[in-house]
Amino acid sequence: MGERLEGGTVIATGPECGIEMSEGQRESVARRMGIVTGPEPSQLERDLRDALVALVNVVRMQGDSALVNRRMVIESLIWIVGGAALWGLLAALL
Amino acid sequence: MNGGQQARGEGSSSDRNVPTVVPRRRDAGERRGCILRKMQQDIVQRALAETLEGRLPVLPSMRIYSRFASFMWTCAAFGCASYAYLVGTSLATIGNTWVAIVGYWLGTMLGMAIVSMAVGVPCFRYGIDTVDAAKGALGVRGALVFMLGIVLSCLGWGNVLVAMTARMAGAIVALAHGRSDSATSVNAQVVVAAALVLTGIVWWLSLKGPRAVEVLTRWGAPSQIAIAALLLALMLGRHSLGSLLTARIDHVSVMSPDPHLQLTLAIEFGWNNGFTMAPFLGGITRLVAHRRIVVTPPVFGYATGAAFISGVAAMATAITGATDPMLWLTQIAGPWLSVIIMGVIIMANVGALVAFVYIGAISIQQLGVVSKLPWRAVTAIVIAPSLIVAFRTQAMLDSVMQLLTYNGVMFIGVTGVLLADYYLLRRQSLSVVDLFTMSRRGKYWYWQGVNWIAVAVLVGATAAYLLMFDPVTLRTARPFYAAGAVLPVLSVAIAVYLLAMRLSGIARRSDAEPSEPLRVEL
Repeated sequence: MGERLEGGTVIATGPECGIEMSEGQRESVARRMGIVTGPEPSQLERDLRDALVALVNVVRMQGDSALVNRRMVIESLIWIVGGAALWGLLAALL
Repeated sequence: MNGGQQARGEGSSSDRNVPTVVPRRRDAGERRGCILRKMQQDIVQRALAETLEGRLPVLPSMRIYSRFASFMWTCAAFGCASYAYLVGTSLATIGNTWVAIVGYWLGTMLGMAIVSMAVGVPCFRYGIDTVDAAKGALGVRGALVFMLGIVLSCLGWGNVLVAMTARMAGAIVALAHGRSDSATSVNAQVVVAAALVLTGIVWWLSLKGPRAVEVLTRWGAPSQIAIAALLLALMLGRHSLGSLLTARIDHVSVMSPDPHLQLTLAIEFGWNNGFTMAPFLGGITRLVAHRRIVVTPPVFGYATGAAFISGVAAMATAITGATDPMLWLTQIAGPWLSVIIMGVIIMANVGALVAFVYIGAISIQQLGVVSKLPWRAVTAIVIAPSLIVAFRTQAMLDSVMQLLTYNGVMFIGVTGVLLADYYLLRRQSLSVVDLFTMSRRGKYWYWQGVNWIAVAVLVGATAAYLLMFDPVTLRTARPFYAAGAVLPVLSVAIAVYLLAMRLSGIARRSDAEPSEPLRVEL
């Protein structure tokens, strides 16, 4: 179980964390978040796990979903073709 | 993130429910529950901060740019900072001022459109930084080459801006003391003090993360454009638009008397300017919430803002004959108005400086040692060189500006590789998990983490570009006359990369492999 310590939260990061991370990596993430790691898993650890999993999984879903880039690609191509056409026109005028 | 929204929602709800009478005595279980909820909120908020101040993918709900204008002004701020006036001075020497301005605008627009496709779109889609997006093509370790380029660009442009801003502060003091030759009579101690104060302010603001960038650039970039518009109006009060657009410097030899080559040179400078945004655009686009504002705001905002300010500077240089922006500024606006204008420019530069620090700080976290440090330490590392620059501002401007002329060249090859890889090989699909997997079982491991094909193409493209055109000496090879150097080099880089990847079969192999179980490598 986690408990409040001076300067941060004690949170357990045992192997049940779910994210395959080395001890050093887990410690790195926890330290960056101002969390002191402890030996036992807890609800708070699962929250941390969920936060990280959500960050990666949801984005993966987003990448696989229908969030296609057709609109952005067409928009870019319009700028490119328009710019090239103006370039040609200007070159012809000169 | 949903959790984040819930946490914010719960917070406001609990604020509304604060009792106004003495609360009933809560039992131990309830108190423990309250403490637990508070700690959970802390964790969610820290996860949010970790995402915005680190490399984790930024989810759509966490992104800060939801409006066309705010994203456009942030992108414009990169092009509108003080160095745009120096670029304008160079444009004036091309030989035909209006051709130089229009060509430069066109080239910047083309460069930005291609950079938006190569870097902006994937970074938006996955909410990831430029370096992480490049891992699909360059390999999880090979992308460190790109990171090096990004950090060098941030340091280079950021410190040039610090030097210019500090010298501008020195010029303000000189003008206030009645010295009309403000450019040459700046007090060195004032410049050092201004640079140190500016560094401290920028560091303090960068602690606030990307929201500070958004707020500062929202008024900074329009201010820069308003100042340029004021200068144009002052010039139009004394000269016709036609004479401004056709003015030439008498005492400086022009780059070329041939109008066609003048146009090609101007467009080439614009292309290069657009490609200098390759390191920065992804770090900002990952914070954009809607796809409808991903492409046009940066292309239009950056190209138009940069070309307008550089164009005004080119006309001012041509009409006054002074190649130092502070000299022609004083001639056009007079001493007191110049003081006000420079004061506004100094404040407006701060937004771009904070943006450089933010992007540099995100990119440098690819290094394991740095990624373990808190945000304030990471930003301090990025801004630390400015403390040295403070004492050597003129040397910085003399030496680094020339090096930065090559800045866009560095990113032509990598842009070609990213375009080919993302659109033609991967069909716009990256495995985010594998981008964060530093393992030989990951999809983007290639050869010991490096895709040597991509590295070879980007090195070869840089060499080929310099053979065709040297932006400092202006030496050109014969094919340059037809379509410049960027277009042929970019096209060949895309073709060579595609061919080599297909022949080697490495892309097919990496796509066929299943994703690893979730492995986060920070």
